Amino acid sequence: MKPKIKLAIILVGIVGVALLATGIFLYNKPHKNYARAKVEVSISAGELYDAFNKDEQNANEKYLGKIIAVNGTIINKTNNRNNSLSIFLFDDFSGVTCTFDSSYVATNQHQLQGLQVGQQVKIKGRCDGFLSDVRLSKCSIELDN
Amino acid sequence: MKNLFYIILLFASVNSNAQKYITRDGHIDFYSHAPLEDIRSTNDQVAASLDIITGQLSFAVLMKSFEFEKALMQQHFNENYIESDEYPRASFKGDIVQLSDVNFEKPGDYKVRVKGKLTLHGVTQEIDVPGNLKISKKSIVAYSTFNLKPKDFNIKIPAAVKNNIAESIQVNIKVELTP
Repeated sequence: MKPKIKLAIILVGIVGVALLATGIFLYNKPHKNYARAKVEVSISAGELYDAFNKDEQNANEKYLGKIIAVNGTIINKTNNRNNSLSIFLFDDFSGVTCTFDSSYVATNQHQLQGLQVGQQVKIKGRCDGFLSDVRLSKCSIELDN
Repeated sequence: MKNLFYIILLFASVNSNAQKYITRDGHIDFYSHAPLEDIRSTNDQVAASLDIITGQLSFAVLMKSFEFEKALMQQHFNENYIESDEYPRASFKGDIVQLSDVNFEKPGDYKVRVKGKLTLHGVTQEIDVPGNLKISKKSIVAYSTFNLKPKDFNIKIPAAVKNNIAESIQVNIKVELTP
């Protein structure tokens, strides 16, 4: 075989393997580590709720899908059916609901159990949107108050 | 006379609170079975309510709260199919048909029919599906399995992935409602 053709085949082979590897890598890419994610917005629970309550479309443009550090007073705290935990800030039903995955709950039991109603707290999570309350998912406790 | 009025008002307000059953962490999962791929996703943050006097049933769910095993699949679901930045929420508002067939005082598993408007991806469709109300002393568990077609809600599946995503998706909903 001519050396040039051999070289061409090898190059195509390398590119092919690279594309395949990229595809497999992307397909299996891990979920974002939300506990280590960079905060994009820092806001109080009351302000965040008001923003969505007054103008949902505007608030969605600003906050939907973003990593938000929300600070506020714990109004309530409940264990959910799938072993996740929800902490309600600003108001029980018309406030900011912060949900911690069951995996986070399992490894941070002590820290979460220690949180009391009435306590000031800073929680980081992804803003999933607005039902009658603002919902934050993938939450973690932010320690630098 | 005034006192009688206030007493009646008190009873009315107490009764109206006892008729609405709600949850904030209800469960929805869906399953797509296709030749090349099976897709499963779960959402455990469903808000739902049932008025046991009127039979009005409603639920609301945020699309970004649907979890997938594969991050890439979750990304495609949000960005390409459901377009959750434009349509972050799906909701249902309807009624239990023939509510009188259900005795809320008597624990049991009642087969019901649910009719109403489902809004998904910005499109509203009338749905009429079977379901169950499992009544116990502590709660009402409403559950149902039904099928939805992505195309009915303008959800575009490119030809390239026709064998990865089913034309008809199975949806399971299970919400435990308390007063």
